[in-house]
Amino acid sequence: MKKWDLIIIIALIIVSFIPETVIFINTHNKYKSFYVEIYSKGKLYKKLPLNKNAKKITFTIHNELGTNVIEIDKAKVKIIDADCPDKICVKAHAISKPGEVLICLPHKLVIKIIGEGKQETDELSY
Amino acid sequence: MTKTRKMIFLSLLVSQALVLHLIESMIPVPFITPGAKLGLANIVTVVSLYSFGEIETLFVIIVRLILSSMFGGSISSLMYSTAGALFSFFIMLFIKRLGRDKVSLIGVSTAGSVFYNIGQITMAALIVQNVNISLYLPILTMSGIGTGFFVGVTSKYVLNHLNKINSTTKLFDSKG
Repeated sequence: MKKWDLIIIIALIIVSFIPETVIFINTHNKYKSFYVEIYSKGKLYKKLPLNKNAKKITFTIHNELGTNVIEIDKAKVKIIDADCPDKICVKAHAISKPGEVLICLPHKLVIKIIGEGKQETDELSY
Repeated sequence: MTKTRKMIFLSLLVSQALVLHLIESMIPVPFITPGAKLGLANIVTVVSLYSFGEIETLFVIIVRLILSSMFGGSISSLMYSTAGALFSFFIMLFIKRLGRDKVSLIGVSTAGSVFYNIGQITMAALIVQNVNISLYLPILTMSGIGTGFFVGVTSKYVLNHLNKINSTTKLFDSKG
């Protein structure tokens, strides 16, 4: 173990946080309304508004790669069942903030939350 | 070293990498993140990089990738591991050339492990056409640094033992 090994390791840790920061900066704005977008095999399959007071909805997405069951409850989105071998998407946490994603790689399914309509910053000025 | 000797040594390396890959696929990974694994086959890559040349190492990697996907893998796993292995090979080459005496095996193999994950994530982002999958990167990097460290230590011991063998000392006179 030499000095430069440590420098390399620290540099690698910093590099790994670059996408995190870029995405955080891009999405860290206040939005008026939130939507959940579901992409199946790269194409937009469904776009639903997220509302805190909405009723719980459950629906199934099926493509030739497999089936996923998605639940939206109190503006939180979660995959509750899937027939993929690893079930990583089922174990993942529920998402609710813009920029967060749920991904099921074997079924090429991406669920992401987006915000629309930036809140006006000067709404208090006369 | 004669051509036949070299061929035998390279094929030995490939078969060792395949055995390590098969053993690794039997070990369950306790991580929630896909793509995190031990990377035992990286030991062979590092050993080959430090004992043979660069082109030979690339050859070992490509043959290992094709054969391992034949033994137990799908087309998509071949795509992920190809991207990962090539990323990791080129970054190891780069660091080994740039660092020379300053960087030891541990630094080289750690960078290799982490860039294996970066390559996998790049390929996954291309497949699902979504950049947000790169949010998994910090978790993968942490596990990659851990496994890369131990891969480096193991390769160091392997190289030390290889140098004790008489017939191989002549072979590895250009080692780093």
